[in-house]
Amino acid sequence: MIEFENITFIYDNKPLMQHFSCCIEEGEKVVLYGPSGHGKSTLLASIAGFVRPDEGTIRIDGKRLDPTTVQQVRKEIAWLPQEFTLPFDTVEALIEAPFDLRANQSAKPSVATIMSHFTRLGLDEELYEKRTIEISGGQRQRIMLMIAALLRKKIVLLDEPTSALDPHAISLVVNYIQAMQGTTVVMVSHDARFIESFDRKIYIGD
Amino acid sequence: METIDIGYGHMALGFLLLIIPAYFLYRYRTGLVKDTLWAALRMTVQLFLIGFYLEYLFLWDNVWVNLLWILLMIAIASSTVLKRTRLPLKSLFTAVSIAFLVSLLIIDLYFLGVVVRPEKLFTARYFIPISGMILGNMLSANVIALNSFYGSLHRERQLYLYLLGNGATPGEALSPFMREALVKSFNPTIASMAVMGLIALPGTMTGQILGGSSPSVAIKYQIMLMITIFASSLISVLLTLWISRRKSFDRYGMTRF
Repeated sequence: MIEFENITFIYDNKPLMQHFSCCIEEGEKVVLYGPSGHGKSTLLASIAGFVRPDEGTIRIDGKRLDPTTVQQVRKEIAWLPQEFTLPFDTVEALIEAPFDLRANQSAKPSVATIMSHFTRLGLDEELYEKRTIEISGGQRQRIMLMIAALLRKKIVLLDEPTSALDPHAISLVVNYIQAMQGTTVVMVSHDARFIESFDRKIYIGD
Repeated sequence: METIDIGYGHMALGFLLLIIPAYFLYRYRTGLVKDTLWAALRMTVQLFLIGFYLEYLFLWDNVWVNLLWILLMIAIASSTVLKRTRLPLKSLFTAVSIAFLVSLLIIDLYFLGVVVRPEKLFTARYFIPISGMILGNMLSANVIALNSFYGSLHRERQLYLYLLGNGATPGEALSPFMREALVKSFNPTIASMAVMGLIALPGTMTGQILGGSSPSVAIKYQIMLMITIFASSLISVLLTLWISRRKSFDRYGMTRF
C-alpha cells in the first residue's frame, strides 16, 4: 500500500503540487494523468525516494519513507523512468543488468521466459541478439517494461512507458500490464487507453 | 663517486634550451609562451626552496619535524586534487586528506619497515623523498579517478538512478562509476610499468645513477618504488572515493553536487 499524506512539492519557489493526499491499495493499477508540469513524474519519483516532498509524508506498507527505510523500499520496487538511455551495448546486457544486483538475482529469468515475454509484447526474438543502437525507441520501451515486470517486485512505477509506441503495440502493453496480477502499478500516462483500462485514474492538475 | 655539480652559469646555459620550444609556441600562436615561462620560473623557485628546506630537514632529521613536513605535503596535495577536479574544497578536503594520510602511512610503514629497513624508520633521507614521490603519484591518480567518477556520475545519472530504483544498494549503483574511475586512473600506470626500461628510463633510477649509486641498486629501488606507487595510488583512490561518498551523497543516495 502506498499512502501520500498532505504532499506539497515546491519548484523554483512556486508550488508544483499542494496538499495532495491519496492511498493506493496493494495490487491496484493506478494511472496518474493530467497536463504537463503539474508534478506527475515528481510524485512517481518520490515513491522511490529520488525526490522528497517539501511537506507531507509518504508511507509504503505502513512504513514512513525516510533515510532508514528508503533502501528497503527500493528493493521492493521496479522503476522505469521516462525517455532515457542506458549505456549498455547489447539488448542482452541491458536485460541482464538489473538481475546482476543482489536483490534481484533470484528473479533472473531464463532465455525461454524472456522469449515468451517478447512474444506477448510483439517483439521479435532476434532482438535479443541485437545491439542497443539497432533497436527503435518503441522496442526499447517494451523491453524496459518487460524487465520491470520480470523483476517480480511488489510495486512497479512507470513513467510514460508508451510514448514511442504505435496503437497496436499500446494495446499489447495495456494487456501486458493488466496481466501483472497482485502487482501494484503506478503509471504516468497521457494515453486514453491506459486511462480507461486502469483500476483508478488520478488527475493531477489545477 | 661524486656527482658533478652544475654551476649557476651553466644552469643559465641550460635554460637557453627553452628558447626553442618558446619560439615554436610563439610562431604557431598557441598562447602558451607566457604560461611556459611562468611555469619554468615557478618550478625553479619551488625546487630551490625545497632544496633549501630539505638541506635543513636532513640536517635535523627529527621524526616529528619529518611527520609535520609530510602533513603539510598532504594538505597541499589534497587541495591541489580538489582544485584540479573542481570539487568543493570545503566538503571534501578532510576526506581526501584522510585518504592520503592513511594510504601513505600504510605504504611507508611497509616499504620502509619491511623492504628498505633503514636504522631509523622515519629518517628524513628515505622518508621524505619516498613519501614525496608516492604523494605526487597519488595526486595524479586521484585527479584522474575523481574526474572520471564524478564526471561519469553526472553524465550517466540515469544509469545510477535506474540501478538504485531497481533494488541496487548504493555501493552496487556506484560500482560502474568506480570501475570506470579505476580503469581510467590505472591504465596509464600499468602501460608505463609494462614498458619501463624499454622505452623510458624512469626518474628515480636516473636520479640515483646520477647521484652515484650503482645501476644494480638503482633498478631495485625503481622496481620497488613502482610497486609501492601502484599500491599506494590504488589504496588512496579507493579510500578517497569511499570516504568522499559520505559528503557527496545525501542519506537518500542523491548527489549533493
